[in-house]
Amino acid sequence: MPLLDIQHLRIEFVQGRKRLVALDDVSLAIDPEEVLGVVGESGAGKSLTAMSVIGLLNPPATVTRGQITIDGRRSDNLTDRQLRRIRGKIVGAVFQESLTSLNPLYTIGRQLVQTICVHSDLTARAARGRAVDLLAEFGLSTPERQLDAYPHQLSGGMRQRVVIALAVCANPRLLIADEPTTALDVSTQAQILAVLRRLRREYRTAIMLITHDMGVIAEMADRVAVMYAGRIVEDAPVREVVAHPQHPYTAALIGAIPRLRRQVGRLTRIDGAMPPLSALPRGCAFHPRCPKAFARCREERPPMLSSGGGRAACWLFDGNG
Amino acid sequence: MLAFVAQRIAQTGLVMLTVAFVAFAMFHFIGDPINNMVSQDATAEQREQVRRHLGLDDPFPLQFAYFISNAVHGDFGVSYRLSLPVGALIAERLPATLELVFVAASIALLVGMPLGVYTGLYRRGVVSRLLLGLTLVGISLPTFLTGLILILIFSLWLGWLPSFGRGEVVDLGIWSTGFLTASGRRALVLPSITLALFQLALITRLVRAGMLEVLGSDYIRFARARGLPNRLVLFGHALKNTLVPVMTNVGLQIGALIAFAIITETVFQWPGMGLLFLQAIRFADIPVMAAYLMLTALLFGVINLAVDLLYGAIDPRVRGESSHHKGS
Repeated sequence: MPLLDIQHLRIEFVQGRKRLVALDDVSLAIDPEEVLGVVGESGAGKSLTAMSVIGLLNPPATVTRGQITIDGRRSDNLTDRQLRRIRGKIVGAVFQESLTSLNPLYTIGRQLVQTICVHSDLTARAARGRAVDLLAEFGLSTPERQLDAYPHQLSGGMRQRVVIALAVCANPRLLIADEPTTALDVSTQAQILAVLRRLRREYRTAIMLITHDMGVIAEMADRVAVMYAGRIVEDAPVREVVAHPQHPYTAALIGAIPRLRRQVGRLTRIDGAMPPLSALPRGCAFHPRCPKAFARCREERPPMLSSGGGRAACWLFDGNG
Repeated sequence: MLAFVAQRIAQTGLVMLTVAFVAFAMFHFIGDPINNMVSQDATAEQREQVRRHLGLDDPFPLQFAYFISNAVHGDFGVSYRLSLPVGALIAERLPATLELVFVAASIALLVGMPLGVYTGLYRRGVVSRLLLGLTLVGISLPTFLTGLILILIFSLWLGWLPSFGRGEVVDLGIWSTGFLTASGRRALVLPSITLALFQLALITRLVRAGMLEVLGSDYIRFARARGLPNRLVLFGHALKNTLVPVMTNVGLQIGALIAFAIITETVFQWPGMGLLFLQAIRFADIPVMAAYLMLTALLFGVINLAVDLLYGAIDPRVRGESSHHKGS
């Protein structure tokens, strides 16, 4: 049984009579201990999908269709109070901006102790010990002293480690990491990825890794879901995706990763831009930019079809699987 | 932190010096003070003698230095109109104004902040919308009108509260207080509400705006995402962050209360500094005006200094302790 199961999720921005479909018919699942990479351009719906899992969509975004099941239990119809038992305890979440994710007025020790105490019966003293252990584990030197530091006194990489420690201090079974390395420099990025790998190895935490960086995905994920304009266009094991991308959009993304040991002189480029939600074209949303588009692509929207080792939403695979 | 405090105090001192200069310059640019002291038919020689006697022929910087040194000792000269030492006049009026401002500021803060938090949290509620509408009225109504309406209702129609004066006061050394007698407290009610109303409405709106901004911030979302209970998110994390920007404005507003007090004191014939100042203007009583100017500036300066220090106490970023132990 998957740990997280999203079925036919639809999210709309409802403002008065105007409705904008931001996410449509998104289905994806994460097994226990699995790392699912979610890739796509900004605005493709990656973060919306993640936020809906922990019930933290900002109004006016609302789930209007579909269902979300966490650990065998429906979560999309829960009250805020019930969702609180899921947040942090079953599903942890880390956001992109580590500086703004921490309350600037409290020391990181206070924020850690508070969060640990909310999720356990530990005394403040014991919680402090646990906080030190967590920070040490995630590679902060002199964690004892760092507890008294304020967020602005730490470097970006250190802050992101604190943020991850905060998100996983109650041992959640799934960690949603929304662009956890985007704001960091390359070497710090590698360190944070190492922290995530460690989480998975030692705590058996499943991870939903959201990024627009195909390179990070190739390095970290077991399986990849590629999103485009509010839909999933390909869902396949990472090895398949990197070696034999099925959907033309995925192929273009893979072609755009620079590689050191490759003879091909040119990186591919995807012409045009992702259409805004208010002006999605008929048929497949990618067809205006697709080099392989044909008549049917302009008329009908493709469903997910089996192809290669996974599934892709493309008419190219109609009838061959 | 110590450097921060020292810097703020030095800045306040500089501001005071500038204000003192303006106050001092008034003596020279609004008529010749000698004219007020000698009889109309005094000879030029006599005038020169008085001038020399008073030190008014000293170089300008020296005169300014005397003025500052006297002002620091509370000596602002003698009122032209009342022929009494200005220091004593002000000391007599100051308690009335400060008590009025203190009560008004307390009302504005103790009512305005909770209303701001409430309207920020339940921004779609009917009660919130109603309160917001009322704050708009509170901001738009001129103070004298508020005062007159209150007098009409509570003094004339209902006869519950006095419409003018301070009631009985009790002298505690140099301070005369109205807090200790029933009539003094009753006399405070209408003027302090009148004075507080505008600030109350403003603080409500400021706190509400701050609350809305903080509630949309990343750290509040992250606090929710790690399962912290609502109460802790709102009162532990959101409220304190709201206070930081709101505090600056509130400090300025309390300073403004002292200025607004002039109108309220006029409407309620409150024997405070504002009334004294208005009379001083009418008679070009420059020593009183200069002293009032400097005292108001001092109060403003002290309030802002207090706000800055409070700021430092609440927000670690202001204290300037960067790179406390950086590097990993």
